[in-house]
Amino acid sequence: MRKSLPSLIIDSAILLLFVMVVYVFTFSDTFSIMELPDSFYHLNTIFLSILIEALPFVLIGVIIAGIIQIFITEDQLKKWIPKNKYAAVFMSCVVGGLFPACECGIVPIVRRLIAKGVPIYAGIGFLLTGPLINPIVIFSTYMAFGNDLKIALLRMGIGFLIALVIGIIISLLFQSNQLKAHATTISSCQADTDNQSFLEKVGKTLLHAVDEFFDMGKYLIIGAFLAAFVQVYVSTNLLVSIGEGHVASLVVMMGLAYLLSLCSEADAFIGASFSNIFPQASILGFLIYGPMIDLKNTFMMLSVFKTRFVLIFVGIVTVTVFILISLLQGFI
Amino acid sequence: MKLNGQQLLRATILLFFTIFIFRLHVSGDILKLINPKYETLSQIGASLFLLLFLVQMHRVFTFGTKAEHHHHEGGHDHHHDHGDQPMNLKKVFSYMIIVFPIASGMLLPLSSLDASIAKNKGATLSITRQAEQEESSQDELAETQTPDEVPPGTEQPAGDDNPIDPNIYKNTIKKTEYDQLRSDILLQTHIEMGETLFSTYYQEIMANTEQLQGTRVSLSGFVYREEGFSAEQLVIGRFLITHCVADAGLIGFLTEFDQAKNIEDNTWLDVTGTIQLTDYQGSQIPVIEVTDVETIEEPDQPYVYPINIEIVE
Repeated sequence: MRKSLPSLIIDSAILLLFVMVVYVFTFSDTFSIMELPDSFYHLNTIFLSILIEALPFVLIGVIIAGIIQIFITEDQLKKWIPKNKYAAVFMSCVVGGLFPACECGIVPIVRRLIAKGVPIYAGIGFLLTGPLINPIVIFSTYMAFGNDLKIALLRMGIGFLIALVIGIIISLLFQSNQLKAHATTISSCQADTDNQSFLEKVGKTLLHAVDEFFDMGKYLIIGAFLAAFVQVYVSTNLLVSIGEGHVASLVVMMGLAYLLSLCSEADAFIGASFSNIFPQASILGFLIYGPMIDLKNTFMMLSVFKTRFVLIFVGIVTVTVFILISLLQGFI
Repeated sequence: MKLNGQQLLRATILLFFTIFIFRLHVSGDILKLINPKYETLSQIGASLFLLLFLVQMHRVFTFGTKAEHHHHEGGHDHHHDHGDQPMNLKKVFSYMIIVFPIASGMLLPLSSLDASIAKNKGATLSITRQAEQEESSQDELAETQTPDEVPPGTEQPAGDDNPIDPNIYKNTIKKTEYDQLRSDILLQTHIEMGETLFSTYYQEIMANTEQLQGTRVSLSGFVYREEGFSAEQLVIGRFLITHCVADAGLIGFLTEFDQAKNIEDNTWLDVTGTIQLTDYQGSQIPVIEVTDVETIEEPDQPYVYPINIEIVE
């Protein structure tokens, strides 16, 4: 993608213009004349904090997706995935467990893998274990629960088991890739990359990342906004007052995990703050369900998968986590 | 040569994200949003936005032959959006959503969380729970005491002019130092909570309330009340930020003193008092019998962060 001289000059001119406009805009003060209720400022602050925290992960995710798009061929991928369904689910859960990601960064990566021909169930296995089982999450869980490894290990172990079960259920229900129509033909972008130089490929990778960001960004933003809204306007005390008994407390903790949309690296500390009120199994429900699926991440998946699939998937994850944690309650 | 309006719009949005995030870093406002530990990551994020912007600039103009770059144009009814399809209402709406955080972030001032948020998050729930949860760690603690050594900066007499800790946002401590600190807390006659060690001391006091009864403690925080408090009671607390402000949790102590009834929620106080044990809604929790109280301005760093323990030495 070599640039001609006039194009370079124009690029730089526009760049300069941008910088000037932005400078004027940027260093003017924020409007404090606006009279809005305090809670609105809190909403805005929490919304931005979720977004600012998530953006680096999402950007890294879209860039990795771009790399997969341009540098990895379908054939290479197919070699890695076992033919057998169950083996493929198992393999994807293991790979997810080794791949440190967070629940928003992983969505674009999984989308790209599936568009490249990875079966839906394998993609889902990867999606579920990626944010849940990784060194940072283990460490933060260990810290949050008073330097006790038990909860951290239970979280990983039971989480892995649940991801396997969900992957298998998905493999029985869905054969096609379930991507939205526009996402299914992306692989054609690669058509003529074979004879391109490395630098050209890098440029393409980044352009793909830009498109991916614009595809996904709005869903991340809506998700973050709703999660912030819940934090400001829905009282936790109210939820907790519902949560008497094993079943109700598990429902409440899973509901909280979904609505609060915390990153898996940070949720252990919030989970730990409930350990006096709710039984350990419910806390585990919070710790396992949250990284697999939450409000913010549901919106991101809606940008990638067919709406019907997302709804069914959310249902399957919810029911599976609920049933398995309830069954294991006696052993924890 | 052709100017592609929509590509220009995309480039502008990417640039504004870059500038928005860098501006937060330059002004220091970023600390109202995230734990300082994640600052570098956030800067990497902003740099990636800049990189994507520069790459996107290549699309803003097409020069005659360059149009064929979109090799897969035609032949497919659907392909994903490269930003080269005509604008329609749906797309305008999408772009508005993407621009929204930049606009609200640049136009509205950031607030710091206060008592109303604490109320919503069920703050006392977490205040009472730790008393029980941390009890288990007491025994191991008692064994590791080494009375001779005092780590620097932990035992400062009251009234000492504490210089501002240059590492206030660094928040990192070696594993051995941390263990030392934890074991030394029981020997101190006056615990200064400070900022860096606030959460560490908080946990230790919650875990060892009985042994620490009668110990003097100084801390600053904002005033927060729950229903059911008596007129002399209020909580003085700080928000603990693990990751970003969305995961903030209130940590603080129940305090008792006569003037409490005259102090409004969200007032920042600097108090000194002695640790006592009290019964609150069925749990044994520490309460601070306040002797000295002073109203202060909200500090530059209203939040506290968990301390990072360096395990590798």
